Amino acid sequence: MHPTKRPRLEEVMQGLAAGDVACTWALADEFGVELARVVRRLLQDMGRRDVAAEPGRVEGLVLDIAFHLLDHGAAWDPAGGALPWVWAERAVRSLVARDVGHRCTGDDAEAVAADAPDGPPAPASDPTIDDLAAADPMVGLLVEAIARAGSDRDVAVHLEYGIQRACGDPSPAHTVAEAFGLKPDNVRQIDHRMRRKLRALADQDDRFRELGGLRWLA
Amino acid sequence: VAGVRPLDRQHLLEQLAERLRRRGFPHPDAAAVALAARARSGQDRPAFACHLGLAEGHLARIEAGEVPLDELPEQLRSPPDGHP
Repeated sequence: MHPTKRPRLEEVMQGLAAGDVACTWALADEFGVELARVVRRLLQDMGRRDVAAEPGRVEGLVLDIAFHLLDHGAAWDPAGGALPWVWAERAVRSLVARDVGHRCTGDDAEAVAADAPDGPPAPASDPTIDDLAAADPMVGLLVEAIARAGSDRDVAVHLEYGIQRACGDPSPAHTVAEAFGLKPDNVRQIDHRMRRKLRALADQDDRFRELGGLRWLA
Repeated sequence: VAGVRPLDRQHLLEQLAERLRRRGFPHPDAAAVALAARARSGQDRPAFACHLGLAEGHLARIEAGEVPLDELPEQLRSPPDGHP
């Protein structure tokens, strides 16, 4: 998504958070290309590219996402940097899976339940960075160092890029760029800059010295 | 590249009506037309009602699906750009 569209996206999300149903159309119409790209990627992942060829199916799924954000989008924080449909990715995946009759995982089932009109926001069953930091002192030290190395946005981009790479994403820069409204080259530059700062921190501050040997900083 | 095609607005309108129907709107087709028209105007309900020369409460009832399609005000049947 082009960064110039971000203010309008935040305006539409505000409308959705306020319960304005007209904003479901605004989101689907004005951000339909971005939403449809997500839908088509998920359909491809599920081996159901045929569904995208059926008249109205992609449009319907895009509107399902918009209605999910109408019901739950008030919890979306624009300062977090992630696009709303990336922020709600688990629920979005479950919406698509449910529509095409794809098998849902446990996580998807939670997200489906959260999609009920009066249901609670999707619970976070996956461990958070804070959970991992609390469980492993080395992770805690790394997270502390990362937080020192850049702005909130750069930290978020760096973490997401590292996670995508670790998960085997073949195009992590593109995935993260789409999520944060950046260009892939910007993502790589941010990550490079963050790792350089982390290496410097490990070199110069004894507290973080043991981080120097981590692959994360390489 | 998959995903760069724009969405079909007619399909979008039909799908919006279908989702409103599932949510219990008695006249979802009329509500969908009104909601889409207001969304495209970029106006909130009071401003859009004023623009159309309708009472805000009447527009609210249309958007809530309380007005049948054949009772939709002419201004909403033929929006200025000819497309919802």
